[in-house]
Amino acid sequence: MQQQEMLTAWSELQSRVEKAISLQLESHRRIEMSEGRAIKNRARVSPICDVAIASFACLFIGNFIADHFNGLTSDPITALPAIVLFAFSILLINIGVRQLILLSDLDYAKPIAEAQVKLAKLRKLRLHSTQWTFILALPTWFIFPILLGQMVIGIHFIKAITPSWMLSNIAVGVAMIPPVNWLMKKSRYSQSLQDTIVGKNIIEAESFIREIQEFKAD
Amino acid sequence: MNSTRTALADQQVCFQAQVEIHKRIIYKVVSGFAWQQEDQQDLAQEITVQLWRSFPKYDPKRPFSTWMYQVSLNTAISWSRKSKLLGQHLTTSEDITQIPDNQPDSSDSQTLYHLIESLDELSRALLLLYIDERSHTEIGEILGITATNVAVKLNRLKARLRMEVEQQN
Repeated sequence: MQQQEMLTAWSELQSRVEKAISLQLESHRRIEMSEGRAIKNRARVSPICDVAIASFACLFIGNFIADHFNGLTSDPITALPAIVLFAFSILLINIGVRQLILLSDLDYAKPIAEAQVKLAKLRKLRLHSTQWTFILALPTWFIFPILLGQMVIGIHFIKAITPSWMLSNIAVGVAMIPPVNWLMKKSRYSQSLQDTIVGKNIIEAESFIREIQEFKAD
Repeated sequence: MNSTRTALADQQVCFQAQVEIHKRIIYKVVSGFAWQQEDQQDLAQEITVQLWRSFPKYDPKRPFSTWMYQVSLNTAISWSRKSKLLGQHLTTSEDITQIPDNQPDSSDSQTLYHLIESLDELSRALLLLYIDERSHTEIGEILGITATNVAVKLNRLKARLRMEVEQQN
């Protein structure tokens, strides 16, 4: 098949597509133009929310640690919930800020190899954010009420915690996985969410980055 | 406030006029990435929205068609990957034959559909630009690779196509 034959075959395919979408495209264009740019900033909403919530948590927890520094250092185990949540918040801020940097530099009018690498990196960061939230939230949920108890009513519940209590709560967290999984199945994004949590989507994003680099270097 | 509104209205008029002139680029890109009518409509909409979003950054010194190809192909590749990950659009190029049309498919068309479908997204973009008779330099500019690299990849693609045609015969 030479270029001329390809052109003929191509125009055959194109005329079908043109028939299928031309009318529809025309009727939507006006609506899209009025809404299109508003949608542009939606991609930033999720990382901005992540950074804002995590920053607020950092300030709140940091303030709590500073206020109770002597008490927490004399009995380090009581500082554990605050330190775990502080570290998790820092991780979320890091991922969120990196997403925002990539988004500010993202331009669909850049060469495909360049733009697609940025998009794949952005996707990888988003997936990491979802993955870490799910992985850490279920087995560590009990840290939230412990920290809240320390912060709001000044009771160090952690002192009353025994290793078996902690293990049983982690087990509860793990036992929550099937109902959460069932809920996820109700969503049309369930498979994608499950693939994100087990890291399959992250591997896929990494392999696409490698594919683009090979395409450029070939 | 009024001047901003006027500027936006002017921009809209300019954008619509340019897209109208080059709208076939949208059809071409859609043809290479979506097979079902619903998907084609979805992708065409997404491309139009992305073109409008990117339009303020358009440099008039560059040819509009090159810019439009870059935005459309980037959007189509992202759309295609997202769809694959969500497990949607599991249909194949066979679906294209379901679009009402009086013309029967030639064997060349079928071979071309299957070849396009079997390619990865970047090679698909390369083939679309080649069929549209873009120069190697322009293809390289759109894809972000050198003109020499374009020539090498095109030779490989043509060899693959030739082999597939021979196998069918």
